[in-house]
Amino acid sequence: MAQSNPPFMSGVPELLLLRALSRGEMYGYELVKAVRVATGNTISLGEGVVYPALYGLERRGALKARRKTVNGRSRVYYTITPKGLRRLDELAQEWERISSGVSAALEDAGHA
Amino acid sequence: MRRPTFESLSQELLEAGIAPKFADRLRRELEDHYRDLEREALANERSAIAAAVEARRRLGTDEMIAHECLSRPELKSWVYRSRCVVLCLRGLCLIYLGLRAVVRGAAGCRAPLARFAAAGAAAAAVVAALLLVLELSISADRAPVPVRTLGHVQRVAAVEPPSSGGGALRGQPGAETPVGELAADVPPRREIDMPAIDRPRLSKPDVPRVAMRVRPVVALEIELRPGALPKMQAADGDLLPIVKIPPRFPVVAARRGIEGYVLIEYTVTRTGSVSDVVVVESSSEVFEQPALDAVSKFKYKPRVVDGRAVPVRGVRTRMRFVLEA
Repeated sequence: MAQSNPPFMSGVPELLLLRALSRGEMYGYELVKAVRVATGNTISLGEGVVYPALYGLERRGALKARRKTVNGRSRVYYTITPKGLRRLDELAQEWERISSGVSAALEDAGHA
Repeated sequence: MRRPTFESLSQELLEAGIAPKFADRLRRELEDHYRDLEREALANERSAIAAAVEARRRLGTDEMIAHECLSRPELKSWVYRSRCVVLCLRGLCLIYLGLRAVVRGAAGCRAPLARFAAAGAAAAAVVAALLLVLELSISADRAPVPVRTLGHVQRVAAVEPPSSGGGALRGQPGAETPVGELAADVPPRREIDMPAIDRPRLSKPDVPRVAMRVRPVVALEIELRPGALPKMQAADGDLLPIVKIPPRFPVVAARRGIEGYVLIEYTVTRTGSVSDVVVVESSSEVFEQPALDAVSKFKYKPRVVDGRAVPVRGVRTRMRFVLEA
């Protein structure tokens, strides 16, 4: 059974974070940059507030975190889990449904 | 320039019930992220100071990050998430220990009166323990309000209004304040002395040093817009500032000898904290972030009307950044 969504806009950052992580393991700074680039600079996540969102996803089992040392720098890298991939599908479908509904409503308003 | 450490943010989150695992990791990740942002800004040919300022700005304020953490109950520690269970267990332990002591005492008594007294004491102990559990359960739902010490809020004095115009300003007596009219019950204007700031050393300073030793002073004026306050009854309480921490004087401005002001407007909530903080006007952008950071930490005794705390909108504070020789 799909999880219920609170007011949907609060799910958009979650959708974008999971989508970016579905492409590979990333750390926080890298992730924010990836979201900005993927959305064509349309959506820029607050850099510091991305971490509470990541911790929330981790707590719910959608992500795993591990500390890795790369080029002498130790950072926490996040990886999406199978549960996270299912959550990503749910959010993507929900987004498709809502954006279709909004587009239809705007088209109707245009013709009215 | 000294890098921020986010220790105080981490400590606040721990006190508010965030799991230690997340509070500690957040501190380290924010420090790493800050370093990456600083490096990015330096790669874009920013100066060291500008890179530091941009990195801090892009990361967001401590208040924003704390708010995001605290709005996610899943990040709280097990003890905070299961408060009622923990409190009930504590209550049951208290009841058990009390009863055991009383029963042991009563078992040794032969007189009926003594046994009656022991039974009464046991009943009183059970009732007291249950009331304690009830009280703790009610207070467990209230978020703790962090109280900051007033250690660096010092002596206050009258403040000259600033002259009009932007850029470097020096207050001139008799100049009009470019703000709305004051409410009748606004407390007298006060200025707060700040200790001299510890200027960080830069390996490659790109701004001239200030020739003489100056003491940055930040003055605070509190104003309320007309109509911001509802009518009061005789037993009601007025809005009263409890914690007003002056902002830090920006190093960039201090080194360049720049003075200025920021007029900020905000809402004091029912719990006495501050929300909806906006800059109404300022003489220079460099003062805005320190002013916003400081105002976000203000604490008030909330306004009470008809026995209920009410939010107060339209509270304004003017912060003047002055260099005094």
